[in-house]
Amino acid sequence: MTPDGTLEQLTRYRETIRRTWVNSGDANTWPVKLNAAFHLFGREFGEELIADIRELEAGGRSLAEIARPFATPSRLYRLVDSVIYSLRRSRRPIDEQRRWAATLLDMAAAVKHGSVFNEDGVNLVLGARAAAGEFPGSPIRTILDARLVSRFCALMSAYTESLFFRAHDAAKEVHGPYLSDDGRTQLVVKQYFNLRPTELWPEVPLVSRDAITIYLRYNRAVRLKIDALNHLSHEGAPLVDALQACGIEIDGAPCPIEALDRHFVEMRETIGAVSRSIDATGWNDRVVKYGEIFWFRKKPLSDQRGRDWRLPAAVRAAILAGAPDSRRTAPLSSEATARLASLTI
Amino acid sequence: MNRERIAERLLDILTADAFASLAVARSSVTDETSLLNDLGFDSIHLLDFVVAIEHAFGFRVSAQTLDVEMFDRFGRVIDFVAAGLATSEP
Repeated sequence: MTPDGTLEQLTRYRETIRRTWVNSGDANTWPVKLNAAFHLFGREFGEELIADIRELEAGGRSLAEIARPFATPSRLYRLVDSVIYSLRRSRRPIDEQRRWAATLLDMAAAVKHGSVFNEDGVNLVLGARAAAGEFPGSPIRTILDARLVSRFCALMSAYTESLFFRAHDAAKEVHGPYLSDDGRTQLVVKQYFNLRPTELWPEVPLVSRDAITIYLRYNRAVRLKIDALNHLSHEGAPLVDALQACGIEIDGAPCPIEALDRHFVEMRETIGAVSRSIDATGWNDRVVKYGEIFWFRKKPLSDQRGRDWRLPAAVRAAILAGAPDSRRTAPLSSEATARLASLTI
Repeated sequence: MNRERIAERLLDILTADAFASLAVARSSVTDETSLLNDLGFDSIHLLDFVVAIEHAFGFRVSAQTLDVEMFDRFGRVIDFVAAGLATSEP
């Protein structure tokens, strides 16, 4: 029997994914439609992830300690549905599916402040005091600077989605908005990491830096919200008009806006190389890459266990011998997507 | 419509062509049968089953009323349909 507290937590979880899935739709097909491929590796992925957590807990670590190397909450939150569907494929009881969903939600909560569900549109990774002191930037001087920063953020998103497909939580967390003490401005932090996953993309020239953090200070004319699956949305004034100040750190060192050009070039080269690499492969090889990315997502667990994080050979072989789930190749209607979210857990 | 009649129509759905891949044996399904664990329903089977229920029984199922637990026992699906019929009847 699932405890009432867990049921309440899962109801809130279900609502967050229903809203997000209906908004984002089911049409994302690059480089393959994940829902039509997940059956080829999903069960093993979830089983291994659960075995990792069980083993680490048995070794005396708390869930918070196990979660800490993930560093950012979305990496854990966005694993929940994968684990649920894995357990379902293994025909595990619903109570067990719910326990593991709740466990991952607890782990996500351990690396952030405030609600794990972001119901108020706020994703607080930094504490209030840290956020108040966390701004290494300088004022935006012209609208051209604001547009340049906006384009750079868009390019960063494209870069991470190019390398990690829909699992870009392995390289990105958007957090905030953190209100200033006087309530007149709000800080959003766009944190990008794992930008050089050479183990995943040995054949592709990657950028020369591992981590980029962009601090964006907006006035209150724009209303910013970050949902539980880490999508930033805004209403009111255009973002470029509301941007008052910006700071960019590359591998911890400040980078002036005027020095961004070099990084634009590097990232565009990588995005192009990934695209060409994908275009040169067939469906099964693309799914193998997805599998590798999924195993990379849970690398913090493998690392804690001192084990190889890579996609197991048997899973790779099964993917290479498999075929798309023909029932999941077409996009679901928004009604079917809402129903699917309700039936998730 | 009584529970037995609802159960019969649900079994008609489960043994129809749309669910042929599950090879459901009519005689093996009881109130305690889990559609997920015993019959091997996945998420698409669940969606298809909900649509089939709507067509067979003539009432709409809103996403908000769905809960995966109702498919954990065949008896609960019967209860769900009975409740849906009761609220949709004039």
